[in-house]
Amino acid sequence: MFQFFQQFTLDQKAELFAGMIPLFPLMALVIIALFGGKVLKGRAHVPAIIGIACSFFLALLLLMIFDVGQFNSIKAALFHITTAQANQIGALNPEFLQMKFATWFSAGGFRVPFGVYLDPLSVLFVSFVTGISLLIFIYSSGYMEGDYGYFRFFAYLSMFVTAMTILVLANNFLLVYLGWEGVGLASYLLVGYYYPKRSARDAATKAFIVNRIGDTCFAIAIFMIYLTFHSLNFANVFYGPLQSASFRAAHSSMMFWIPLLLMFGAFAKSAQFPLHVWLPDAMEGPTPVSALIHAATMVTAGVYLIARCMPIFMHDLPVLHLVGIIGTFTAFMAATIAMCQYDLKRIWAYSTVSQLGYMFMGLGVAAGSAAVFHVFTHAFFKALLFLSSGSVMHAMGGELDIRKMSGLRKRMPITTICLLIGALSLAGFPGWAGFFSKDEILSAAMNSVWSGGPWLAAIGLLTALITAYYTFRAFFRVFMGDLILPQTAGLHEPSVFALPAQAGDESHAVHDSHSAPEAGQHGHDAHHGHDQPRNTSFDGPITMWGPLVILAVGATLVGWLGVFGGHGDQGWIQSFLARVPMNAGLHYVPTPPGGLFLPVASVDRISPAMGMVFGGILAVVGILIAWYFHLVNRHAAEVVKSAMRPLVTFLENKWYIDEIYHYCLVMPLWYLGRALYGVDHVVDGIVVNFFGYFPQLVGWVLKPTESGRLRYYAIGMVSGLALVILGVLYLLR
Amino acid sequence: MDYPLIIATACGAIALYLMMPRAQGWLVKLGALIGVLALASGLSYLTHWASVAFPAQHAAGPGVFFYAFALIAIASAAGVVCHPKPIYSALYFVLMTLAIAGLFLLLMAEFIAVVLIIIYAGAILVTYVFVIMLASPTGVAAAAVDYDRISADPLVAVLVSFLLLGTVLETLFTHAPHGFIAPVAAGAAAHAAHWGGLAALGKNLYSRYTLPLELAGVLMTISLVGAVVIARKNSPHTQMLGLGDVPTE
Amino acid sequence: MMITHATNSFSDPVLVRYLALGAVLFSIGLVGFMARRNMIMIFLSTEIMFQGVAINLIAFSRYYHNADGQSFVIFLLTVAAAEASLALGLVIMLYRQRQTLNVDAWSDLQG
Repeated sequence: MFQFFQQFTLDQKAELFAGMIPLFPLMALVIIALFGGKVLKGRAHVPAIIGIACSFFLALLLLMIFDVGQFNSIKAALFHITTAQANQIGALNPEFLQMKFATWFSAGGFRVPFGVYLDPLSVLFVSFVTGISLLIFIYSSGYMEGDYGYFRFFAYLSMFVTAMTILVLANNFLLVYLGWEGVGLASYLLVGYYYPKRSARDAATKAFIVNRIGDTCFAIAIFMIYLTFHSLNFANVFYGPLQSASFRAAHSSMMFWIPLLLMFGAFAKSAQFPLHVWLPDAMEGPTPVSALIHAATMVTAGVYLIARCMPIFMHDLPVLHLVGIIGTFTAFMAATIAMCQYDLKRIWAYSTVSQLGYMFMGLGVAAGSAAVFHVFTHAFFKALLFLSSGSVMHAMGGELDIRKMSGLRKRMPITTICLLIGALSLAGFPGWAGFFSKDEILSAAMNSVWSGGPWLAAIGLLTALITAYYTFRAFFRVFMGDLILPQTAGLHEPSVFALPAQAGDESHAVHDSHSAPEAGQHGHDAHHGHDQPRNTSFDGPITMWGPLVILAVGATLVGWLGVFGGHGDQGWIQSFLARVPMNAGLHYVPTPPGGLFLPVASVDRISPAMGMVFGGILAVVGILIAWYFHLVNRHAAEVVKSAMRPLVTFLENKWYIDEIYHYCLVMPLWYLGRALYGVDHVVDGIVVNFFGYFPQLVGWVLKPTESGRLRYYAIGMVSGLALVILGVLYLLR
Repeated sequence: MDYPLIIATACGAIALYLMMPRAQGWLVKLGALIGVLALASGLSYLTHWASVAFPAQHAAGPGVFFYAFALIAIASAAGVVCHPKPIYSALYFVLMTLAIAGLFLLLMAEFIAVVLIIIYAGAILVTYVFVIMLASPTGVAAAAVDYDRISADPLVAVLVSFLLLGTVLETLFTHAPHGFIAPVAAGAAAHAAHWGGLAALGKNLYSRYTLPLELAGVLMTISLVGAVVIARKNSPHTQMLGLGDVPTE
Repeated sequence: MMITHATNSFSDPVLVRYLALGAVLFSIGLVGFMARRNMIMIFLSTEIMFQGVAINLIAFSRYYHNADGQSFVIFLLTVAAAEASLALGLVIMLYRQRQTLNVDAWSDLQG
């Protein structure tokens, strides 16, 4: 194996590694799907974790290959080159590598290959996707233990990772679309994982239907791209005729519609207004799913798509600005909604929508690196927040209402610290991850050459204040103060798969019949082997708090990658992503083939340091407000709340957006459906039944010929043959 | 249109119609008479046809053995179809097989002729005779059975079959003079010298048709097993089809 | 022998006679197939039709000096034997069901 790899150049190795990354989760999927139910059962997480670990390892190798000037001695040892050569790795590469492994399908001149497109953007995405996935897989093996359909869960997760890695590594739009739909399907299946619950089924359906809108837009955009560029290959689209002004003028309407439709595709997947409504409901899925798919990875696919297509967006600035405006508005709206939610997971869900809005704000002011940096840090701290909340949920027996619990730090010390770190990051407290990435976006917006940029930055700063407030509102309520536990604490959440789960365990059923009314839940819990006495720690097994600690360390450290470790005064992230054409102010013409020219520049209105100071102050202020109202004087919060009753109701009802949809879209469609049903009755009664009766009539006429007697069939055959021969002889000569 | 041919075919049809098993036994003898007439007219038509269509080759007739064997084959085939007792039909069939084996000898297919006698007259016919013996009602039941003594719709059957025969013969006799792809003239004699006999057949079977030959063996095995399964009393197969034996009281 | 020496005398008119004989046998078999009511007789009639076809094949084999025709007859015999064994097995099974060989007893497919 090792010898085999020696024959390739470093570029070829990188391409091979990239091609192998989706294969490991795919193999895990196949193994779990085939053997999960009968053979693996409770060990179904083993192939999934091994598969994702292999992928993560390969992704790390890719990261090293594409990294510029770091870890040279490790690289030299790994790739059998000298340190001097290692120094050149990455710097020597063109802005991207691509390789075609096989043809997916071809029709005439239209060929779609299975190929990879490697540049720092896809490498960064694939490495954090696989890395976070690995941690969450491990967490899930503890969190989901003993759940009915355990193997199903890991099969879906492996499928998700396969699709997600395909999405970020693909070298053409259609393959991206394959991954795009694959992650959508995995998301649908995982949101509906507890399918006996009606709310889970409805949430899954909602997610799927809302995503249909975006996916349709994306599909139409792909058709338009093919019509315009006669290729779906990234290299051909971005580095080809797009760079010529006359071509763009000739296709000016396409140059408007393609980015607009791509934007809607991205907005549905990344839950931006007005297509954000599916994401909070998607929290019906198991918490690791919320952490992985609906916070860290899948919802950032829209950011990836726009960052990847930035060369197209750069040539239609109104659409790019629209991305920024909607992103900013979503950030603000979701943050205000998060202030008045009481379900811990829903708070984080709206916070995810809000943070995604920040990322689109960054993209809208052509600060791709900052947006991707925020994706990167957000993946860490949001996964951390969700997983910590999952631990809370696990310990509290499925209860997540922040009004019913308090002071949990005394029972869940590790979880408390981890969630605190996540909250500090989310709030943008100086020194933690969210601080650096969010402020980079805000200062980019402030310095945008577009006059709207500073306005976006202003709303972004206000949102940052709100973010700090709602984050610590949740933290102070749940973890600080006097100890209050909900009734269900210490119990395992009653399984929605009650019948199948209990059917497998007769001894418990016998035992249960002798015990208290709660015995069913107790028995179920004992069955899972971690029945927690009420006065001990609720932190859970190491498979659960281990990944939390790693993520907490990550959330503390990754922000500094935006400050140190790069060339000159840049952070590592900036210099790593510098070669990706997605930033304003870069006149990009380094290497073949042709280079890119991005026509957006930036100005200096505010220095990055000033931005950081501003952001830090706002974060601290927000935390202090939360500290006063939710720790020191919780009664004051009630007073303020009743004083602002209409506003609070408005926010508690999530700006009534679901209701607006219900009355503007769902009800009209429902009545339309009723009307069409009436039309259908008419059609059914007259037209369709005629077609039904007509064959009956023919059959009635021809029925006597079916005598069931062999000889008449033979007579029919032979006379027919004779007539054919006669016809040929005398009619056709 | 060849009226003599049509008349001969029609005579044959009438003959066969009359000879089919029926209540009126005397009609059978009339049918046999007309059958002889039909064969005779067919023979005279052939002579006439050959002299008109192939004047140059008139001398190269097939020889007396062909006519003898053909006559026996046709007559005994009619016997098979028309005899009201299956066991006699089977014996007529043996006679027909022997006649056809003779024709095969005339056609220089000695091996096929021998095989035909062994398989048809030896194996298949023995099976038929067994089944006829096994599955024939006896005693009182036999008297009530009429399905061998009276045929069903003989007129339609004969009309349709001889319509087909008429069209085929018409095609054959009118088109043959310009019809067949002639054997390659050059070297045909040399080819002929190497042709014929068992060696050529064996070489052909075991070179060109090796795979089909093996598959034929597989087919035989399958049908052997299948026959055993099907014919077994109360086999799972018959039960599965809901065809199990009617339980005896 | 006389037969072997007749090699070169196999001309078109002779071939046509053989083919006509095959057609006649086929038709007689067909009449039996349609008109007889005994299942065994029906199968015996199909054997006559087989033989008519076999004559055609052998005659063409002789005409074209080609062993393919004879090979086909070997296969034809194989299929005929397989068919006979299976068909007669079926006849036995059906006879056990209704105690009759009358094919009209089995007209369950009547429309």
